[in-house]
Parts: sequence; structure tokens; C-alpha cells
Amino acid sequence: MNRLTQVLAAAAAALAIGAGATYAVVDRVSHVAEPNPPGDRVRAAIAGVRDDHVYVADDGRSMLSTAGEHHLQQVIGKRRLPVYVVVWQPSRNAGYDHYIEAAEQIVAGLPAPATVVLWQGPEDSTVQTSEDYRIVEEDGIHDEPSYLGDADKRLTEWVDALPDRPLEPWDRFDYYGGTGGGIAFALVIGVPSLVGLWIVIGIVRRITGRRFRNVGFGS
Amino acid sequence: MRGIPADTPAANSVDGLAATLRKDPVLVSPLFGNGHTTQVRAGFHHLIDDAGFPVYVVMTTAPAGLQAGRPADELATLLHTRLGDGVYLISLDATGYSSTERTFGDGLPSTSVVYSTNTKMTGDSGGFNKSVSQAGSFARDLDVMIANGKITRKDYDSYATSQVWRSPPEWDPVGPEPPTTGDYVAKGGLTFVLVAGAVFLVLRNLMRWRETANPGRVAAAKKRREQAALANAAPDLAGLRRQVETELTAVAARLGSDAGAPSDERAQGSYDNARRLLERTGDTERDLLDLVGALVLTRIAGRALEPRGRKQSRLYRACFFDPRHGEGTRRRSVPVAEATLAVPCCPACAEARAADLTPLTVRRGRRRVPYYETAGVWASTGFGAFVDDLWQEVGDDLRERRR
Repeated sequence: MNRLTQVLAAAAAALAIGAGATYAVVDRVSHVAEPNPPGDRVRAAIAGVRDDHVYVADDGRSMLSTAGEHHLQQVIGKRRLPVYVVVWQPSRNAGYDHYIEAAEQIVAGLPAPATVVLWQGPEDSTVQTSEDYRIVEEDGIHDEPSYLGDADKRLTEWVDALPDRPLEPWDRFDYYGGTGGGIAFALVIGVPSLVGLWIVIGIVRRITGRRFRNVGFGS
Repeated sequence: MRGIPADTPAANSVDGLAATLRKDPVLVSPLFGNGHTTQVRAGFHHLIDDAGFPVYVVMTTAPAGLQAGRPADELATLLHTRLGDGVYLISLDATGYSSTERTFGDGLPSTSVVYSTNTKMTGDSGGFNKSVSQAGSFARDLDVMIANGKITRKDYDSYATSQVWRSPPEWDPVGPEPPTTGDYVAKGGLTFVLVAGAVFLVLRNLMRWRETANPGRVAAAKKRREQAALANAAPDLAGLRRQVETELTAVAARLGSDAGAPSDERAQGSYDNARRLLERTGDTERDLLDLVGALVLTRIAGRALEPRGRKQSRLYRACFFDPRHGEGTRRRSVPVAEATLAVPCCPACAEARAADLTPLTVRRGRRRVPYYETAGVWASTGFGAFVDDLWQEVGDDLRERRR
């Protein structure tokens, strides 16, 4: 095997093994842990808002009357807004660890883009949007309603202030800065590491009586 | 209601609640159902069926009319007056930890067995374990009461592992986040650079590993292997004698033609003593050192007869470790007795590790020892390593031996 053939064979093997390792790492990176499965209370809320956008649990009826529920349905439905409202009492015994987790589970169960208002009263209420979307940032638009006071009035005020397309795509923070940053990171870390490996190999070569560089004594 | 067990009709009064419990002693709202309300209700029914005493489970919002202080205890008391003796498990607060377990009536299990069992199992009298939900805690305590404290560890711990009774998994506020483009490029790219680069470097070195070896070291290693074989094999005394005679014949021829040269005395003396050694030795192993000495003297004589030039000024010194290795063109330190001496040696011995040296050995009792650890002229002179006029030392020794 002449020198050129050796180099080509080593390069081919390096490319093949490198590509295999890269495929394995990318596959691992793309595997995201599944979120906790929703319990029956959350599943009922998803089913409850899917068609008419407003769901009031039996335990939440004291916070939003049937008339208020119908009014909100009309306000949201008239403009076909991707807004969903769930009203229930807070609980730590309903199958989720935190009320924001419950809101995330509800919005994940709805077609994107969607935003869910989980109304539990003045303290533990929240608004969650579909992954990679957020409420548009404009003057006069709040990313969540005030949770103090009558739920029907407060929610109507907030919904009325929303534009017709209240959600916009949102690029999440990319730690590596996108494609260019990722390539730069790979080179900045990878190349010095290879130089280190080259030095280690050179030291081994010296210990075994060879020249530091990969050349023979006739070179 | 869609996809959820029908909520218990909110009993807005204690009387309404009591009426509901007479029909079904298990009243669990989805607010308390741990995400598995149907299974939780079924689990309580299963336990109550085995109990043999009345049990009422109330996990719902509080009915109207209770005092603010301890509503769960107050409700237990009010229900007792309406439903009679039994075990009452009541929780009215879905966001707090306010609940009660009460036993009314003789012959019913005391809640003290729950406390003692929980203390034994968890070290906490309340059996507090964040891995068990409120419903799971009630069910486990009821199980303990039914078993009168004789619950197995496995059964007790099962409430913390069963999906129906355990607490939901801990929520991670920041995850799981789907990967970004940068995640893919950075981690995939780094992997490719490192793995492909490392494979290429290693393969290229492996492919040329033999080709790039130091030829001098390769030759020395080969020589060492040959010398090790020589040291381990039985000495070929007859062959050694033939080699000495051949070289001695050549020296004799040159002695005749080089008469009058300045090195005559060393050449002649070395030749004569080599000849004497050959004449008085046989081919047994005890003659080995004398035969090797004859070889060294022959080569000293030969070197002395060489024409003036590069080697003429240099006295022939054999490899200290084994003169059969050849001329000692290099030097290395070696511990001899209590001293460390710099001795001439062949290139292979010069580069060998101390453990790899293969010195000329002689039999001493059952074992073999290096010749320089024995007594005699060869050990004291190191076959010429320590003296310039080996022929004289050998001549004196031969005269001594004759006496």
C-alpha cells in the first residue's frame, strides 16, 4: 500500500467513523425527555376547551358563572382567537406537581399556536403559550390578564385588547448562537483537542524510539 | 363532563354530604383524585370491602356552615352524629395538608396503630413521604388499620410506587427544552471533528508504526534477543574452541610477518597466553571462562598487530558482560560488589535495561551466577575491562595454577 493509498484509506475510515459518531450524538440530542403525562383533570380541561374555548370545572363555578362562560365564548369565538380559558380551583392533589405544569400540559394538548389562561383566582393563575410562540409585544397588550376581580370582566378586557393575531413565532434562546456559532464552537474546542492528541501521540512515539512527527529516519 | 369521572355532586350541607355517603362511602372529587380519580375511588372501595368495619372517605370541597378553625375534624364529628361509628378519612383542602383521620366506636382500629406503623416505616409518625399523594396517604393508613399494623414493607412501600397513589413526578420549570439548531451543529460538529480527527491521527500512526521505527533500536533489540538466547543455551564449547583456534592461527601468521613492531610485546604475550589456555583446557563447562579468555587475548593480539590507524591507538576491550558479544565500544555503569563501575560493553548491552542484561554466567552449586561475582583472574580483570595488560595478569595466574 503506497503512501497516497494509506492516506486515503485512513481518511475514508475517519470520515465513516466520524459520521457514525455524529449520527449517534445528533440522535441523542434530538431525544427530549417526555413531559409528565396529564391526569384526568387536565385531560378534561383539554377536551372542555377544544371546541368552545372556555372550560369551567364544577369546583370553579364560583369564579365564573354559566352566563360569564357563554359571554367569554362569544368574545373569543367572534374573533376566532387562539385563546383558551380554564377556570378551576387550585389543587396539589389533582395529578400534576405545579399549576404551571398543568397549564403547559393543557396548551400542549391543543393545536398550535394557542394560548391558555388558567384562572385559579388572584394568586396561582397563569398564561401559557404553545412551544415556540409568544404573545405579541405591542403597546397596550399585556402578556396576561389581571387576576383580581370578576373573572368574566377581567378576561374580556384582556381578550379585547389582543390583536387579531395575538401570537407570533418566537425563536428560543440558542446558547450556541445558531449554525455559525455551532461550527465555531466545534472548531474552537475540537481543533485544540486534536493538537493535544497529536502531542500525546508524538510523546508516545518518542518513548518508543521514533521521531516526534510521523516520519521515518530516512525522511 | 368529557373524559373525567363525574364530579361528586357538591354537597352544600353536612346533611347532604351524609346522604351522599350513605349511598357511597367514598366521596373523592377530581380535585383530590391525583389524576386518576376513577382508580382512586375503586382502590378505596376495594380496601373498604376488606375492612369489616364502616369507613367513610371524604375528599372534596368543604360544605357550607363549618367553622373556620379545624373544618375537617368538625365535619368528622358532625358526620359521626349522622352516620354512626366508623373510620372517617377527611380532606377538605386541596392546596394544603389539612386533613384528618378519626375513629369513632369501640372495637374499631385505633389511629394509634397508624402512627406507630408510620414511625416504624418512615421515622415520621405522620408517615410523611412526599412521594405519596394525599389519597395515597389515606389509602395506606386505611390498609395499616385493616391489617392492625401487620402490613408488610412491600405492601407499605407499594403506595409510593403505584401510579394511582404516588405523587406526580417532580416538575422541571426549565425543561425539557427541545434542542436548538446550535445544539445540533455544536454537539454534532464537535463530535465529528474529534472522532474523525482522532481516528485519522491514530490510523496514520499505526499504518507507519513499523516503517518509522528507529533502525538502530530495532537492530539492538534483535541483538539483545540473540544474546539472551546465547545466555540461556548450553555453551557450545567445541564451537568456541574452533573459533579461538581459527582466529589464533590468523594472528600467528601476522605475528610472523610483523616482527619488530612496537606492539609486539602485547601481541606476543597475548598470543602466547591464549595458546597456553587452549592447550590446558578441555571442552567441559568449567573450561568456559578460560576459553572465553583465550578468545579475548587472541583479539587483543590481533588489535595490537593492526596497522597504525584509527584503531591502532585503541586497546581491544571486550564487552564486560559477555566477551562473546564482541568489542565493548560503549560504556555503562554497573554495580559490582559494593561499587559502581563504568565498564566497556557492546551497543546492545549499553541500551538494554538492567533487567534485560544477559551476562556470561558460570555454575555455582545449583544456580548460575555472573562470572564477575565469582573469584579468579577473569572476575578481577573483567576480561580486560579493568586492566590494560591482561596478558600479564593471565600469565601470572597460569604460573600460580601450575604450582
